[in-house]
Amino acid sequence: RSSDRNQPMDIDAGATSGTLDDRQPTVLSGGVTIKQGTLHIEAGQATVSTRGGDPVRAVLTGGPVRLRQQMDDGTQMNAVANKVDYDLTTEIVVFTDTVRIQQPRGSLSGERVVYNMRTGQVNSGGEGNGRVKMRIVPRNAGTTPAPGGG
Amino acid sequence: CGFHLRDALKLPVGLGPLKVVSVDSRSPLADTLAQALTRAGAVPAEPRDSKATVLQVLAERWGDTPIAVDSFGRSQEYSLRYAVIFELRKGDGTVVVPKQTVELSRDYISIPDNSAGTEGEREILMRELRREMAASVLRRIEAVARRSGGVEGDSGEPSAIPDGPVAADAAKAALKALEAMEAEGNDVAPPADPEPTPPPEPKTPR
Amino acid sequence: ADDNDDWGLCPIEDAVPTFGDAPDPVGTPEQRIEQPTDIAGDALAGQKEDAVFQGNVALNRGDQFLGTDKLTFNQDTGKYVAEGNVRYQDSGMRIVANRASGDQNTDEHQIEDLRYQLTERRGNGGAERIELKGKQGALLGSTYSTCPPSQRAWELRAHRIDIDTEEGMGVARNAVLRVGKVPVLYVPWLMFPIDDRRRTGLLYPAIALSGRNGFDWKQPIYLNLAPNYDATLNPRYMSKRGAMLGGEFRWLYPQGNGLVSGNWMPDDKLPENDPDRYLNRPDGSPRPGATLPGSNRGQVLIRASHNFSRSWYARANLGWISDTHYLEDFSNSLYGISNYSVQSSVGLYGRGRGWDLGLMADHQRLTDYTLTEESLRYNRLPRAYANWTRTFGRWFETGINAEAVRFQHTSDLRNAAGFEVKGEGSRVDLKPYISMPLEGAAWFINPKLAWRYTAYQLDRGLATQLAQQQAQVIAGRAANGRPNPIPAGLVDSLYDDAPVRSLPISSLDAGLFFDRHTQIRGDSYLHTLEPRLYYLNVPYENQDDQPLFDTNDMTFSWGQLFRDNRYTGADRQTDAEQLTLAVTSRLISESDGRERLAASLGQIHYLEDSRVTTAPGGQIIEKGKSAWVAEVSVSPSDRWNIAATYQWDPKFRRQDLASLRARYLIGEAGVVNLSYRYRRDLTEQADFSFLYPINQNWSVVGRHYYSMLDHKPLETIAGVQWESCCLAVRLVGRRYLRNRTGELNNSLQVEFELKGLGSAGQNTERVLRRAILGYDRDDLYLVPPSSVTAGEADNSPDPTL
Repeated sequence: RSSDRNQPMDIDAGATSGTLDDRQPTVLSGGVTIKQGTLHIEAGQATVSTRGGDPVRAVLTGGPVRLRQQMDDGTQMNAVANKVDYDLTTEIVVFTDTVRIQQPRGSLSGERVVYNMRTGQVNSGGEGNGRVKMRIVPRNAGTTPAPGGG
Repeated sequence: CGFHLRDALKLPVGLGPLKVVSVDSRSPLADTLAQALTRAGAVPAEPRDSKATVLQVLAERWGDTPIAVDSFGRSQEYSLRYAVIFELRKGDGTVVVPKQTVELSRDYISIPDNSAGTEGEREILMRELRREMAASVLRRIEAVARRSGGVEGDSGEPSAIPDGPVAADAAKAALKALEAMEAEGNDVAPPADPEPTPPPEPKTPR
Repeated sequence: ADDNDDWGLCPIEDAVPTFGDAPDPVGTPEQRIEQPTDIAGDALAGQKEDAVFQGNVALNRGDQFLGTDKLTFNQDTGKYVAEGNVRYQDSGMRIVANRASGDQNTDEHQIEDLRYQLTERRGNGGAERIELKGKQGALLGSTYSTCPPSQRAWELRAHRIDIDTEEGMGVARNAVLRVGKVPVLYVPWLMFPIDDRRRTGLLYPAIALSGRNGFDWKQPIYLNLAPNYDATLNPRYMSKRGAMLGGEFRWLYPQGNGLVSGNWMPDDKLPENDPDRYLNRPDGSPRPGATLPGSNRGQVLIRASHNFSRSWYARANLGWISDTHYLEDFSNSLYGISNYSVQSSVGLYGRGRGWDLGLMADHQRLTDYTLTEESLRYNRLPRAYANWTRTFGRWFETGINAEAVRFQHTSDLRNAAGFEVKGEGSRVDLKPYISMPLEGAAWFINPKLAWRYTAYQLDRGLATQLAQQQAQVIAGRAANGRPNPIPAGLVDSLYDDAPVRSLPISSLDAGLFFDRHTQIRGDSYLHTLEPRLYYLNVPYENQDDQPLFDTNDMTFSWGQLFRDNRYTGADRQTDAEQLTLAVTSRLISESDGRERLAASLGQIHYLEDSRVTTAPGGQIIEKGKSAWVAEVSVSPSDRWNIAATYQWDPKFRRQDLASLRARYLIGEAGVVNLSYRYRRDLTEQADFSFLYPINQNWSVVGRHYYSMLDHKPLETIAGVQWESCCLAVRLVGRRYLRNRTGELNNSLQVEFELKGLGSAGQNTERVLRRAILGYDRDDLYLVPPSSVTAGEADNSPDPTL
């Protein structure tokens, strides 16, 4: 939801290294979960860089990174990718490497997807980043999105 | 001059039980052939025995067309034609007598202004043609059986029935292989149709 | 052509080649709505509402595929716009275009300046715009043809063509048909099939122009009423004669099938235009009681069969023709006018192992004005017959052939004495027999003793007439040939309305089989020699007191050498003391059993005169030798089929019959027939006919059927056919015997067949199939027969209208 931004973000991880100051980013590993409002991210490893004590950018990798968030219209969005680069200031998330975004109305997959959480704008592919595939489920096809496809 | 009395017909031993199947269950040809083959020593098979050798009458056709008209254009001579397509093959599909056609015809006159008796003559001719057809089908089977069955100087064991023309057999063998593979469940795509099957016109039954 | 079109001549070239990246269309248009839509592209940009795909975009849904350079798609409304080499494909067609837009939710699409190709059928073309809605499609400013783009032999341009892949029909509105570059036909409205389902609709019109009918348009309408019954209506208009309605109704059910076909012409102007043809005889003398058959002319044919069980079945074969000029006025082929009577029969039949019987009735109706009803055969109302045979003991076989018939005649002409000229009566004929058919491998002998008992019940007129005939023969003729007066009382003494004939028939049929293996040009043959003798002994009994209901001389032939009666029916049983000696030799190929040659020679030695004749005082057969009968049939290869018969009468040193028939099959479809026939005092005719395929596209047909006795041709045909991938043109010139006065009629038939669209013009194929035996291989038994039902000889009249 757009209100997630004002929610507190709590991050827990198996292990952390580095300090919370701005000079060098902290590396969280051993299974990281980030929660902020309805936004819920799980990843193998995360590198969070902060500015002025606030996290400004998180780069998550390892085992597929899973991201779940509830849209303003109440529908659920799930995304899976091998690497997620989340810039909290511009609220632009860049998914790369076997990306799959799942929404009740359909799913999108590709090699590189840029998702602007504030405008909902989705850009994908381009510059040789493989094919983008989107599946739109027919309007009356019941709740669970059709698996697979794309 | 080499002619000798025909020796007894030995139906090839590999023939096994035999049944005669006809496309038209009503025609007496199948019965006449079955009786004649039984007299010649064939063992009649059960109708449902799928392993039996089959003498199949594939098609039987009568035609009675005018072949001559008088100067007024009225037909005055007819040709009664009787044609049969038959094949003899063993239970496992090998062909003993390849599919072939026998055509017999009898001509008869029917003068327009004195055409009494035409019906009677046609019925007599039909009966004679049926007998003649059964005889000629048997003659063909005997000719093939005789060559394979009675080869002189044979070491007692009658040589197996030589397969019919290779092409027909190759196709049958291929078919058998295909069915066998499908039966085992592996997914054999049906042979791709080389040419797009021509879409036929609307089928209006005439 | 009624069988499906032959696209064999077409190059393997698609107007719109298949799309490599498109999956094969699966599923039907109805299922599309429930299918998910998959879109793939090189790049995606855009909000949830209007996603913009770029670069080799592919959209798949059910059987639909859309390929384009750029696709703008709104998920919620389902609307999309595709620009840049748009490629669309579904289960019905493939389209290539520049721009397409539409709505996936309502399954509506518009595509501009496109080229399309139907996939279930061979249609292709272009259009300014196409509007697709589910299964319907409308092409605006479009063309349609089944010809490949490289050989555009014909094309249909239409303001609008509606294509309904579900109904499988296309409807063109104000369309112009071009053959080559020439606009040939303007049609305000034209429906044509785009797949092969049976459906109600117009079939292809038969258009002709002839001196007799004027402009002749027949428009068959096919009614697909139900899976097991359907009908065809044939409204027809002839400018010089009027309107006519034909129809045929066919039905099929598990136990049987049948058809009813008929034609009805309320008011035919042909008789008024040419009255003396109907009112006078060919020599001009007036025909008593002749009327102009102008109104309610027609023909009805009913053919039905019903199977009660494996052994019992019923058949009906009824025919009715309105007047005796009908066949001549409504047929345009020699075959059409060759029938002179219609026989209707209906019966119940049974058949089993060793027995068959029937209870039937048949009726004759005259259809030829040069004959009188007296020349018709007797009607058999009813006729019961039974044949039964059984073997008993090891060697014997017994059986009986029985028949009982009530004869009645259509003609009710009366003679001076007031009696019907064609008297009526009934007859019972029983022929029990016992035979001893013995056979070994190389011999057979079959002595047979039969007793024939035949009894009549005649009406007075017929019995009196027979008595008068006998009396006249007894009274003899005076020197000047005039018949002497009949002594009084002789007729009464000869009068007998219940004549009986009862006599034994003994015969012996025996034969031997010799054979040898022989090699001819490398192939091994079984060469057989089969001598056969047939001895017949039947005592003489005067049968002049018996009528002639259904009996006549059998045509003298090879079969006659081994028959126990010289006559076709029970009214006459020949007396005989004769011995037939005959021999047959065959060459049977041992590899496949095919008979390559069969030659037979035989003759009857009459040891005594044979005095029974059809008419009292007729010509008897004197002691001596019959004509030699020789028959040869040769088929050196499967393409050749030659048969010749010859009969030479040694007594009068003249030939009775000489006939030759040769047939050669060329390639897959060609055929050449040659036949010569001479029958003493009857006919001498030659018939040469062929269908010769010059190459894949050109073929010529021809026939020359000449009667030497009448010094004139009976039918001459010359025709050429050019056939390409999608167009066939047939030009056939014919000169044939049109009517009983021997006039020949010229007719030139042109037929354009736009394969896949229909053929305009006369159906020449049906006429050619009658004239040239083998024109359609189907008639040559090589493929299961299509026109003749097994078991009966089908000879109903077939005026090729």
